[in-house]
Amino acid sequence: MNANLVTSASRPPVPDYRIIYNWDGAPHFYSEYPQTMKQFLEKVYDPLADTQVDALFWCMGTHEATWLSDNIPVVGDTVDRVYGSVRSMRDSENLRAMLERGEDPYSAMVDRGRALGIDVWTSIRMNDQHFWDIDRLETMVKSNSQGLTDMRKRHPEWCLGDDAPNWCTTSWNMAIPEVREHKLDLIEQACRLTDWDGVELDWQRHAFHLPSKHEYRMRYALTDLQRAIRRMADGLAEERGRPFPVAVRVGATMEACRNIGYDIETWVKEGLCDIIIGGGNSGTDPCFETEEFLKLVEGTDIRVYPGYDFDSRQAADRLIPHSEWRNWWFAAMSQGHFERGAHGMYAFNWHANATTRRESLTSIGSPETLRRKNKAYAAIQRSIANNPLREDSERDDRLYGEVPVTLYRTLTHDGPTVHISLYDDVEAEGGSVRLLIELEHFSPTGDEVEITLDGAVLGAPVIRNVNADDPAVPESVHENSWLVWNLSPTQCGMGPHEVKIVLVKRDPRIGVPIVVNNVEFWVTYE
Amino acid sequence: MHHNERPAPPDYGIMFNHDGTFHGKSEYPQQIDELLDRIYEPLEGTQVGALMWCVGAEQARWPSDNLESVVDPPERPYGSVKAFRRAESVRAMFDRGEDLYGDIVRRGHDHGMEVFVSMRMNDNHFWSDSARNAYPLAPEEMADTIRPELTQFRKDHPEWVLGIGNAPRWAVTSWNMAIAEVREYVLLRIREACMLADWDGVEIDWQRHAYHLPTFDAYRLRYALTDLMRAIRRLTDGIAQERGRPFFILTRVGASEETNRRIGYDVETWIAEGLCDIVATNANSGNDPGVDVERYVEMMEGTNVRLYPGFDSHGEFGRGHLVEQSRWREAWLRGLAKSYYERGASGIHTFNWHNYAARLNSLLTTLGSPDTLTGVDTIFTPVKRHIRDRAEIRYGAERDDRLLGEVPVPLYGTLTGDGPTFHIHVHDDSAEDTVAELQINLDHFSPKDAVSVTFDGQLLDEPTLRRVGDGSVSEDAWLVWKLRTDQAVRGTHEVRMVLEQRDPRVGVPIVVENVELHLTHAPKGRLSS
Repeated sequence: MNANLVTSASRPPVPDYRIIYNWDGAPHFYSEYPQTMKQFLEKVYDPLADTQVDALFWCMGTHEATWLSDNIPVVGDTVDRVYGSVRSMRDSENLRAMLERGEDPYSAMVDRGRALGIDVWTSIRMNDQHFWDIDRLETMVKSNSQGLTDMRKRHPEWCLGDDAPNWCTTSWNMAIPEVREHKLDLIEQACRLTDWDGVELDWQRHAFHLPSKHEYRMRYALTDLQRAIRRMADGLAEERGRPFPVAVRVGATMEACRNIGYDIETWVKEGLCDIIIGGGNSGTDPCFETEEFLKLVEGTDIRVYPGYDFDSRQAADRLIPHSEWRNWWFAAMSQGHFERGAHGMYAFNWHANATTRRESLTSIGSPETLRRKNKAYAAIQRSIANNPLREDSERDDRLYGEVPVTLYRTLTHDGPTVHISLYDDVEAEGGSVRLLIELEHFSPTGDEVEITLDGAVLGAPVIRNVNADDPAVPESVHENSWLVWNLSPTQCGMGPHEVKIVLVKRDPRIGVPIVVNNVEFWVTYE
Repeated sequence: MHHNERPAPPDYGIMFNHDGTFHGKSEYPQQIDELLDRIYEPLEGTQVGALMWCVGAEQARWPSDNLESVVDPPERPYGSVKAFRRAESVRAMFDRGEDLYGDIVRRGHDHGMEVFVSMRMNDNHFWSDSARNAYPLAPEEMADTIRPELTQFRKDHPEWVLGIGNAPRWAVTSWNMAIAEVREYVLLRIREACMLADWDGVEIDWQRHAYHLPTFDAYRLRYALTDLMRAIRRLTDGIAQERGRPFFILTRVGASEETNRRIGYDVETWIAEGLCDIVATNANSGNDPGVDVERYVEMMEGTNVRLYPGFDSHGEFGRGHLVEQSRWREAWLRGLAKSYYERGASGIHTFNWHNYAARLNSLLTTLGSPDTLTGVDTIFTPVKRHIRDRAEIRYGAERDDRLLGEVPVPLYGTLTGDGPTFHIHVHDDSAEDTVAELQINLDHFSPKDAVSVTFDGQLLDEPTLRRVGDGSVSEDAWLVWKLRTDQAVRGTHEVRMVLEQRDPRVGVPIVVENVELHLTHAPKGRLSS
């Protein structure tokens, strides 16, 4: 059945991109209506110019066409161009105005990218779900949300319905052949809009495609669509005489991929993609199994990219500003991924301007530029949001998260063990390392905890909190405390480390348990 | 004690779990000999090398100063004659001053079996009763509910159970093992049970039932279950030292590493720290044939820990196939057992077979050794993962079971001439006179449908169409192909099914319910007609 396929061996490898930057299309609403092409291109490229970004993946919207289509509603059509917010109006009408003026934003974007040395791919969200306030198909049929096309309203039986977390009730059920046909048509139209350098299939936006608990056995349906798109891309490549590569954004772990229905093994074996990007459905997933993915693509030209998303889930009452910590955290993860063999880094939903992400975008693309950068090596945090409208959105994300973890008394003087690997040669590079543990509901005058690092009990820590460190705040205490140790180079060599936390004594005056919110090694350089 | 200092457990062949409910099988007052006969007679002459005797789910089935016990005088009449017999027969035995558990152990030893005490770590059978079909019990309802095994201790502590949102709805009144007091209580139960007789070991049955920690926190809270395992190991080491012979620990966990991670079993640490001597596997609900044998063997390398993949009393247990039920069951379980042995298992664990032991004699005399599995008929299948309907009261019971199930699967049209692929791992050799058949069961199949099937990439010819029963029409059908013996060789086979054309008059999709490879060795009974 694959006789007509171009073999993977006949497709050249994609260029080595240091950083791939996914733009969700937001720059359309970053200027007042009517946005000029010049304004638009500045919003798109200002964050990327003179950085390590070598490829831009441009999201083509979600359900409506962001181009003039004969058979798919154009942005704004689903609400008859009367919008629920000024932002939505700008988003749709700025684009429509360009199209009405006869401009071609996609060609302009590709041209500008080329001028800057950046490849430009079209990016397709395979099952974007932003109708999450509609948790019943009966409601969807009568609803008037932007992007809710007539096709979806006419076919509630093609949606996941009760077989998905409530917020994904109206997501497409990709098992249905007509849904796959529709997606293929939409993708082909997008791919033919301009001379893109490739197409990204963003399966992780959002990662609910098949009836719950049936995903693994129905994975053939997603593979079918993936194969059909590869055939289409191969056809385009033949037409234009140069490759039209395919990237896929999938789960961060093999387990997540199985749970969602991505048969990555088959996709690699059949050569259905050229780049694999791993990411969470909701937020950055640091669990990316670099080694496993590399093992899978061994002997092929497929490139492997860990993906970064937003970082608000990692927000904490830290002892440095979050924006600074974020740079350290992405630097540490990138250092680790490069050390483990990743081909580059991928950023999603960073929504940058010319300055906000520049530190990361000029450093995380190469091991050389990460040298002697401050880093935060952190335990994997798996926060479960308490948002009834997004229940289970983290179902397959950060599966091996070790924090936050409640610290209960044990019968055998035990407690949670957190695993963190360090990838900086601190001694050789002249850096210093601190271990920081954030404990929620910690009572410094009544609690006693014992910390071991790689089996050795640590001495008394310095106990700090975010208020005491901030002269603008009147309190010198906080509900959360950080236990901090300065470590010697022998305590923090490169490689995996184990931090165990044991509750020795709980302050009897406090009726809630301690929670270990974060465990981190901070590597800093003068 | 370092785990390598503990001796390896003997080779048991089959380890047979008994749920201990046979007290209700005789009229009150049951005599001990009567009970012992009922337990052991069906096991005579079998390969059962160890019996695991369950001493109750929550109430102690022994006199206890610390625990609520069935031996305590009841505060109110029983809700059924069955409940009366089960409790009062035990009470009568203790009133008569008999040594119930000592006798169970001695009779087992007389039969050449070792006898373990079996502890259900979080059994939940009080989630509903026959009169209640809408919602299972909620934590706040426990205080006003009377039900067997729903103890006052639990009623007093609704904050110590998992709670709504932290487990499938029917399991929300299960203990939250993160709570230190719960672990202390469970350890106390286990300590008292271990002291009841001169047991050969203890079974820590984590899979009955497999909800111990809040759903999304189970992995990071796994230290709590490890803590309890370690405390139990210390307890048994103490007993072993006192009596001068080993006191083994068998732990029953999930079939796969992924299942264990989801539930919170840190089996790798348990093995590395020597917190168990035997690992038995199975599902929370029914059989889980997807045992990660190779991974378990890898973890056990260099240790004395042994692997016993488990068989439960599977929900279907052989019904609805072309082959008669008992023959299907025999061939399927024998095929699985062969695969487990070949891949490194030490023996087989059976769960909930006690009610059928006599009927399952042919299995209990063959599953315990690869030597008694030579030449037997076998059936090999992909993993089947039945998911009960969301409206069913025990929805979620299979949450962590049979995770890589490939059937049942709806057969939809595709853009690229593709369809589901099934993997069948054959662990049997065919001889010249072996009959090999591929049988595929399709639900909602109409004669106007067209499907194509490839076996290891080779398109198969037209199948024979067969149906269960008298062969007249039914909603499902079986497609049957005779295979050459050189096709059905040992190894992994891929069966791919593609929907070429669907009868437009039928509005529901075809569902591939079963895919089976039958190997029938002459001159034993033919599986196919």
